[in-house]
Amino acid sequence: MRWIRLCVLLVIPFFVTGCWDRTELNDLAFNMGMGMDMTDNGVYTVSAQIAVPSRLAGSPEGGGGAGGQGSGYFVVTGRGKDIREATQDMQEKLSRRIHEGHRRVIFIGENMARKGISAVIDSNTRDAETRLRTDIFVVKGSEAEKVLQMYYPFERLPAQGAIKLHQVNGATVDASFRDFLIKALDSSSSPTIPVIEEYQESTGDKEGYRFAGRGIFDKNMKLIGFIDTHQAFYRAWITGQTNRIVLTMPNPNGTGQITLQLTHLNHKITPILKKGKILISVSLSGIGDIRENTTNIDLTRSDNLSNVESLFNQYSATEAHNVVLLTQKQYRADIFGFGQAVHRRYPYQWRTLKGSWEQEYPSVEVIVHSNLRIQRVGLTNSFVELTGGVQER
Amino acid sequence: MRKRTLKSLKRRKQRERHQEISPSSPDFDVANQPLSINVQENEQILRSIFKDCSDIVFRPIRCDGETKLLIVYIDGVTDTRILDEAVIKPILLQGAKCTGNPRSLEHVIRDELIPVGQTKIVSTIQELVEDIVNCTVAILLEGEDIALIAEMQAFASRPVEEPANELSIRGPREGFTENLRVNTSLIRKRLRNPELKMESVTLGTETKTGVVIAYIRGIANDDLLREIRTRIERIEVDGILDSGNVEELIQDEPYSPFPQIENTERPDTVTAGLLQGRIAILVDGTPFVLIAPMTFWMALVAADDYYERFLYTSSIRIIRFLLFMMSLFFPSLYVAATTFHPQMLPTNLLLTFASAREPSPFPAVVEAFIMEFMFEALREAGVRLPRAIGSTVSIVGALVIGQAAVQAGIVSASIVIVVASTGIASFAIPRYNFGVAFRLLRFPILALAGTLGFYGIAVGLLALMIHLAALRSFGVPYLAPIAPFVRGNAKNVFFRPPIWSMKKRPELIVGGYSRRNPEGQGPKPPRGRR
Repeated sequence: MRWIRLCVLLVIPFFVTGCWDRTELNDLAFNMGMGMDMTDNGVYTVSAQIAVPSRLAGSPEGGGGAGGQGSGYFVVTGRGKDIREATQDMQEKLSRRIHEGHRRVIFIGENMARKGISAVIDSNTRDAETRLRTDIFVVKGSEAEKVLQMYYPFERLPAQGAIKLHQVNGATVDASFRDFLIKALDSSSSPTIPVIEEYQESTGDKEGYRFAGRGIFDKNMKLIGFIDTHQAFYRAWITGQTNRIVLTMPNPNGTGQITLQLTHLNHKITPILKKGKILISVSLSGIGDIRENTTNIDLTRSDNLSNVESLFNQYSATEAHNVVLLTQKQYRADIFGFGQAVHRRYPYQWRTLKGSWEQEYPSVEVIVHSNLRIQRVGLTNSFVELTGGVQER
Repeated sequence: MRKRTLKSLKRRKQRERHQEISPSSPDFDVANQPLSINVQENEQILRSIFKDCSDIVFRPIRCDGETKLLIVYIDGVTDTRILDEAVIKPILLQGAKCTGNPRSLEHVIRDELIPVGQTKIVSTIQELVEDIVNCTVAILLEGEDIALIAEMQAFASRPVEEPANELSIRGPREGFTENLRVNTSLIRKRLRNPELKMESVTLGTETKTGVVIAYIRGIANDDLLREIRTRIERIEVDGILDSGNVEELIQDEPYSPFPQIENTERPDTVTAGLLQGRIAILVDGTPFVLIAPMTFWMALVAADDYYERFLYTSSIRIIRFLLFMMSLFFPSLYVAATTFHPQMLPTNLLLTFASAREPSPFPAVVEAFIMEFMFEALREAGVRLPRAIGSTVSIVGALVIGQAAVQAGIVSASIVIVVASTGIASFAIPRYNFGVAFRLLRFPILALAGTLGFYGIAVGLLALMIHLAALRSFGVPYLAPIAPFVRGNAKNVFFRPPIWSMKKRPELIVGGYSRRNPEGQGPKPPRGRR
């Protein structure tokens, strides 16, 4: 009898208290992507792409339509003096509780990025629902809200398009928010964030967004500049964040281009401290296939092939060095983690260097070596020009 | 104090009444009487005992105008053809010759006239009555204070068929029947060894059901045998109708949802159990034979695991293990993940769930309970209904619950999928009563998941583990040989090792080291070029 009473007492609290955090799926508003902007007078504008599950796939007729009645999402915005307040403003327009657990992408308008994004980082790192695997983008030359409003034909939820866009274009995982946090907390290196920008199709009024390199931030988390897609690839190669690169080299001794697609990418950063001067040696390597050849070089000849290999080595080393020079001279920001490499190699000397690394970095000498190997030239028959046009087979 | 005396008084009274109505108990008025010399007297006593028993046949045989012989048997369970041919006919033919010497009549009948295998002689009424209800033929002689008992049972019995509940793809297709003798013969046929012992016990004060304890002497643990004997001997119920009655009376923990004694319809499974040092309990009148002790992992073993190739059955065992986890936790995980931890699910999966849940009027837990309830209803209806209607139920169930309920928006499609796959998973557990245990436990865990989320599931799992770890079957830990870990036995849990590497009998069952097979039994075909 006592046992039964005890059991009943134990079970009752499960059902009577109003404070269990059970929430049905149809009481949640899934925030699939968030945009953050700042007006010139310092007001935060937060916008969110909220999924409408009933209109999403699952029901065969759902999923279509451009932002109108039939689409599986809608965008709400809120304003406030900080991000939380703006989010609260947004919540006041929604009948379901905003759930951030599935927000996989955050867009930041350029205007706000220039003014500093520490507020974004602060509010997001305090929020228990934020997932670490979040992609964060700077919207170049526009506002984040506009990107969220844009229709993206591939994805059920347009915000997810940006994540896949980033992955296809070099990122290995969608973790740029985490990477940003790591870099921002490290005193030596400057954080970067991938960039997307709007584009207008030259024919007609079709608009969309595209991947556009990376934005460089300074230590105060303010945007100081951009590097383009091409340069961003070299950055990813040097920092080891990508596993596939396509190099297109103009023929230095004539006309035409050669395109090499590289896989098995490898990188090595070796700092050398000599008489108080720092020399950083970067060696890049990769194995690749020739994907296109519009020059008159016959790649089936092995001497030509090794020649082309060394040309690619020179070309990629120079290009990579140019990117390094750009960050040294123009932005004075170490986006490659060279400081970290020095720290690892010379932990004791680093103590004195640490404070002055930002000033030191632009004058550090960087040498880039490249060691590429062409594995396949990809010719199934001889080159067109050498044989005098297309032959009948 | 007074309460207790009252109770014991009541009990004593009950026992007394009990004994009064039992015809064979020693208190019965004529029971201890020796047989009379006079056949007529004996017939009267028997007729009074078997009053209103229309199936008892009294067949007097007269010689020279007076009754010389009385044959008593139960109609329907005696092979009347043998009775006629072997008893009545010779007596009638020879009867005239032996009138003069009544003393030799018994010997003549027993040794010369009756070509029946088993005969014996009884001398008291009690013994005689017992033997008659045991379906033998009793022959009473004029001028003798003894009776001759001849066994000529011919029960209406089912032939040996393929077991209905334990099908196997490969392996013997014989199954036990309702006849105890047939069942013992099926085991003896597989174990031609004088060390295979079969101890007989009669259980049930009214039913007098024959029970056989079978074991291999030298392999089975003596302590275990003694324990099983004492547990069976203390049974004092009026009737044993199935081995399930025995199981319930001798198991360790009756309030546990888990069965602690294995039951099977397959003689090969019983033989395998005997070889492991376990003890089988056969009950007359049921094809289900008990094997004790049982451990948790035996529930995941099917008979043909040991007949198929070991690589295949090992992988099947892993699948079975996953399925049994699924049968316990899948609905709970679904409910907990969707209502407490939506961030745990992949985004696209969550959106699919969300769009399916959108029109649903009930919370996910309630939905899960409704569907589980309907599933159990379908299963129960399917089991009980006659075969002709059974398929109707499944069709109606599939249409109404599977499709119409989803289309009408009463439940979401995802919970239908979850519950259906859980049901299938629970049927994939080879031991039916074990699957039932898991289906039962699913409900409290579902309630915990619906109120406390993953935390609740963890609490439920913990409670379950504590219970399983504490459970014992005839002294053997239920989770053996994993907890406690026994080297050499543990490999035969998640995998099915090849026969040549199963060298040891289960240590905790046999009670120590016991070698099964010698070393080096793996196949060694000659290597080299042909």
